[in-house]
Amino acid sequence: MSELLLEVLCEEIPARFQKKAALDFERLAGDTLSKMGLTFTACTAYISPRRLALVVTGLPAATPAVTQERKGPKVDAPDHVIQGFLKSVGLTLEDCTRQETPKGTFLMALKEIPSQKTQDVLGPIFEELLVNFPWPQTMRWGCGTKGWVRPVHSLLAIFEGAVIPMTLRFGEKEGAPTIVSGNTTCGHRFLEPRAIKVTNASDYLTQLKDAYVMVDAQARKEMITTQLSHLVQEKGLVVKDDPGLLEEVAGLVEWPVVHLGTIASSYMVLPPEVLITTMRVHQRYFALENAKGALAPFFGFAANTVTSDEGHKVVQGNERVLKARLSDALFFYTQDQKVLLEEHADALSKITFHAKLGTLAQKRDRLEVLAKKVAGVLGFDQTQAALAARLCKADLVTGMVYEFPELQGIMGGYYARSSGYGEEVAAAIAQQYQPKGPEDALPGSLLGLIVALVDRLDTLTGFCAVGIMPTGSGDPFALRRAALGIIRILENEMFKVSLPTLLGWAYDLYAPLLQASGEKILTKEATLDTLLSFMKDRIKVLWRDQGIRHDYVEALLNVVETPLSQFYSKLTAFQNFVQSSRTKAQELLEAYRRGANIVRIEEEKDGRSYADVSLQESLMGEVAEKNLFNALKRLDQTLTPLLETSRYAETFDALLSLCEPLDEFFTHVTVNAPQAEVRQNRLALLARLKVRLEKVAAFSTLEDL
Amino acid sequence: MSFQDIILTLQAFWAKQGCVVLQPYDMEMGAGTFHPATTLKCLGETPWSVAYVQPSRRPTDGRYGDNPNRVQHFYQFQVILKPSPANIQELYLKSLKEIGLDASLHDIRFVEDNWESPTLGASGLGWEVWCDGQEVTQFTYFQQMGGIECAPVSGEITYGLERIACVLQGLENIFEIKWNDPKSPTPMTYGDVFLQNERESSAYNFEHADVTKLHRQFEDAEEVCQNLLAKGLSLPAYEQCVKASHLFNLLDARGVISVLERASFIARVRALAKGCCEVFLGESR
Repeated sequence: MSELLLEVLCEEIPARFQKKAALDFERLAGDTLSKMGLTFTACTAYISPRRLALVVTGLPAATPAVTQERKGPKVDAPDHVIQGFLKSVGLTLEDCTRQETPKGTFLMALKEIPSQKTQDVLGPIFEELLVNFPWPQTMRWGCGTKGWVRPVHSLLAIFEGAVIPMTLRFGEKEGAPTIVSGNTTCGHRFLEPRAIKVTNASDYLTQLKDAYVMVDAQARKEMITTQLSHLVQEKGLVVKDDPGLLEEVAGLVEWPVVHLGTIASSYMVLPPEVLITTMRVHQRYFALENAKGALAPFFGFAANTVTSDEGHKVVQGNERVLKARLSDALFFYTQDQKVLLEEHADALSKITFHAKLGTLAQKRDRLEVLAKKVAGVLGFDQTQAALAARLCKADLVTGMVYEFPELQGIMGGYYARSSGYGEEVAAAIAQQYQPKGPEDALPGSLLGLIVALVDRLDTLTGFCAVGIMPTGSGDPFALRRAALGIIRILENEMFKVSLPTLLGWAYDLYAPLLQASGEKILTKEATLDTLLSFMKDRIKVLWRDQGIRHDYVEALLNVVETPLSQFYSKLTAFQNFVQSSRTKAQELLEAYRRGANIVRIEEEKDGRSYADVSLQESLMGEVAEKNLFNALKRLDQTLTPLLETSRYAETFDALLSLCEPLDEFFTHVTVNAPQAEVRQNRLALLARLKVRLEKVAAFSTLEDL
Repeated sequence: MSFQDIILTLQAFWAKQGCVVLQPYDMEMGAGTFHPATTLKCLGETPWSVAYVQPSRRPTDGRYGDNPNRVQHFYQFQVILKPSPANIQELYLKSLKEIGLDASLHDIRFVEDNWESPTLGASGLGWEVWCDGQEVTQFTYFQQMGGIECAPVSGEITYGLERIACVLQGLENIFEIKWNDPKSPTPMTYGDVFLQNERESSAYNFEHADVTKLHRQFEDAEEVCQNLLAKGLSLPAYEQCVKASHLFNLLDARGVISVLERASFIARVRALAKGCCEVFLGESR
C-alpha cells in the first residue's frame, strides 16, 4: 500500500477561500480516485496561504481491470445505426453480446479495461483536477490564458518516494505559465526560503515545520489560540470569542507569532462596537475583555514571522496603524455629536434610497406615518413610535457610518442617546436591522419591533410596486430576508393586524411618490397579490421545517384577515382538530367538495351566482333540507363570537355540527329539483354553506386529511 | 532614509530591472494608474516595463492639514511589468530591502485585495501589502482595462510613499517625514514642502471650487474627448478623459453630486476611458 503527496506552491491565497478549497480538494481527489477504482485508507488536504497540499495513503499499486458495459441499438436496427455503434466502441459485430429485454434484443458491447499501474494514472488525473480546481475566483498572470486563484510557482508530486511526472499548463499560448512537477518545495517566505527536498508525507510535514511553515490550518489555529491565551492570562484578560476571525487570521499566516498591542486610553471613550469593528474588520485584531466583560485597552494579533527584536517594531507599527484609524474614528464620533440626530435626519434628502423609490428622507417620512399607524393598532405610544421611526435612518448621513457602514443602526443608537431621546428610542434604533438572519434575535422591545417591522414593510412594498422582486438566485436588495423578518415579528402575539392591512398602508404611503415619478408601477391590488403570495411562500418555507403541511398553511392563510400571530394558533388548533376528529373532518371536507362542485357546475350552466340569493324557508319541502338550513343558522350564531375572540379549537369543533345534516341532505334531497324556485333555493343553501366554511378556512385548497 | 532617497532608490532599483523610468504625468490625476503609461500601455501584446512617481490627487481626502494621515495630494511610486514575470513578488520584496524595509524586523504580508476602478472600467486581482498591519503597497495583476481584457497580464506595483516613509522613519504624522537629509544645510520636512498646499487646496476643493464652472469644464472635456476619439487621436483624447475624471472628483468633494448622479458621472468617464482604450489599441496595431 502506497502513499501520494501533492503540493501546489503559489502566491498568497485569499484567506476566505482556504477552508472550502481544502474540503473541495479532499472530495474531488477522493471521487476521482474512486472512479478509477483506486481505493485508499485516508485522503487529507492541507492549506496555508501559499500552499494547497494533499496526502493520500493506502493506495494500491495498480488499478483493477474492469469490464465496461455499453448498451447499443436493437439487433434489428438499421444497418447504419449498428455500424455507428460498432465504430464508437471499436468492436466488430461478433465481439458484441446480445441482451434480451421485454423491449427486444439489444446489442451489448463489453470492453475490457486492463489494469494500469497507479503511478501512471495519477499524473493525468491530478493534472486535470488541479488546473481546473474550482476556486470561487481565478486570475490570469503573465502570458497565461487559463486562470488559477493566484500565480502558481511549483508542484511537488511524489508517489512511493518517486516523482510523478506532471505538467500544469495555464494556457495554450506560447509563453503561458507551465509548471513541471518535482520533489522540492520551499519554506517560509522570509524565515527559511531555501528549497526543501521531500521524500514522503511525514518528511514533508516535519521539514516544513522546521522551515517555519505549519501547513495544517487546524494546527495554526491552535498555535494562535494557545499563544494568545498565554499572553492575555498574564494580563488577567480573556479573548473575545470570534471563530470567524480566528479562521481568517489562520489563513493569513504560515507561522503565527502572536503579540499584544496597547490601545491609548483616550480612544477607549469610543463605543465598543467602533473599537471592535476597527480592530476586527480593518486590522484582523482580536478584541480582549477584562474579567467584567468590558473591552480592555489591548489587542491581540498574529504576525507571520519571528523578528530579531522579538517583535518590538512589529508591535510598534501595529499600534501606530490602529492609533491612526482610531483617531479618525474619534474625529468622526466627535463631529457627529456636534449636531442633534434630528438634524442629521434632515440631510437624508441628499441620499437616494433607490433610483425608482425616491430619497431616504421620503422613506423616513413614510416610516414615521407607518410606525404611528402600527403603534395605534397595538395600543402603543404613537408619538414615541413616530419619533423612533423618524430618527432611525439619520445615522446614514453621519461621518462614522460613512467610514464604517457596518455600524448603521448601532451608531444611531449612540447618537440618539447623546441627543437626549431616551433609552427606549435609542435601543429601538440600534436594533432596527435585527434579525439579520434566521439565527439572529429579534429586537428586544415592542418599539424596536415596530421600527424593524415598518422599515421592512416599506422596503418590500416599494420594490414590489416598481416590479423588483427576488428571482431564482438573485436578491440584491435582500427582500427575502426582509420578508422573513416581517414574518418573525408578526408571529408575536401583540401584533393583531393582518398582513394585507399592513402592506396596504405601506403601499398607500408610496402612491403619491410613484404616481408623480411616472414610473411604470403595479396597482395596489397587483402589489398586494404579489406580496401575499411571496410572503406565503416564505411562511411555507419557514414552517415546513416544523413539519407543518403546506396545504394547511395555504388553506388557513388564504383567509386574508387573519393576523399572522393568530394564524399560528389557528394552525395548531386545526392540526389538533384533524388529529382528534380525522374521520369526521374528512367527511366534512368531502361534503364541502360535493356541495361546492354542484354549485359551481350549476352556476356555470345558469350563468349566475347563487351566493347572494336569499333563502326562503317556505320553499324547503324536505326535512333534511330544513335541518341543514337550521344547522347553518345555528352555526352562524356560534361562530361569530368564536372567531371574534380567536377561539379556534371551538371554531373547528363547531363545524362538525354540520356533518349529520349534510349527510342527510345529500342522501335525501335532489338539488336539481324540477321546480325552478325549489332548485334555486337549494343551490342557494349550498352556496351559503360554501361561503360559511370558506370564512373559516379555504377548504378548496385542502388535500385529503 | 529620507523621502527623496526612497524615490531615488526605487528608481535606481527598477531601472536596473530594465524598466523605463518616466517622470510624473503633467496633469492632475487620482492615482498612478491613470498615467497613460499604465492605462494605455497595459493594453495589447507589446512588452512594457515602466517605473515612475505620480503625484495623486484625491480632493475628498483633504483635511486642511489637520489629520496626520490624510492628505488630498500624495505620491505613489508606480511600477508596471508586462507581461508579469514569475518572480515579480520576489523583485518587489527585494526593492523593499533596498529602501531598508527589513523583513527580519517587520511583518510583511500579502492580504487579499481586489482592485477595481469603475471610472477606468478596470479590474485586477492581488493584494494590499501590509507592513506591521499598515498597507504600504497595492499589488495587482490587471485583468481588464477600459473594458478590454488584458492579455498578456501586467503586474502593477503601487507603493504608498508617505506610508513607507512613516514606517521607515518611525513616524505617526506624515508632515514630519524628512524630505531630504536632516543634516543638510536646509533640512526640509514633508510639512515644510506641502502643509500650506494642503490647507489652501482643501479650502479650494471643499469651499471655493466653482461648481458651475466645474460642470461646464467637465462637459467641455467630455465633448473634446469624443471629438478627438472620432479623429482617432487616442492620447490627446485620453488627456481629456483624465481631466474629466479629476473634475468629477472635485465636484464630488464639493458635495454636489447625489448618489444617483454619481453613478451617471462615473459611467460617463468610463465611456470616455473605454473609447480611448479602444482607439489606442486600434491605432497602435
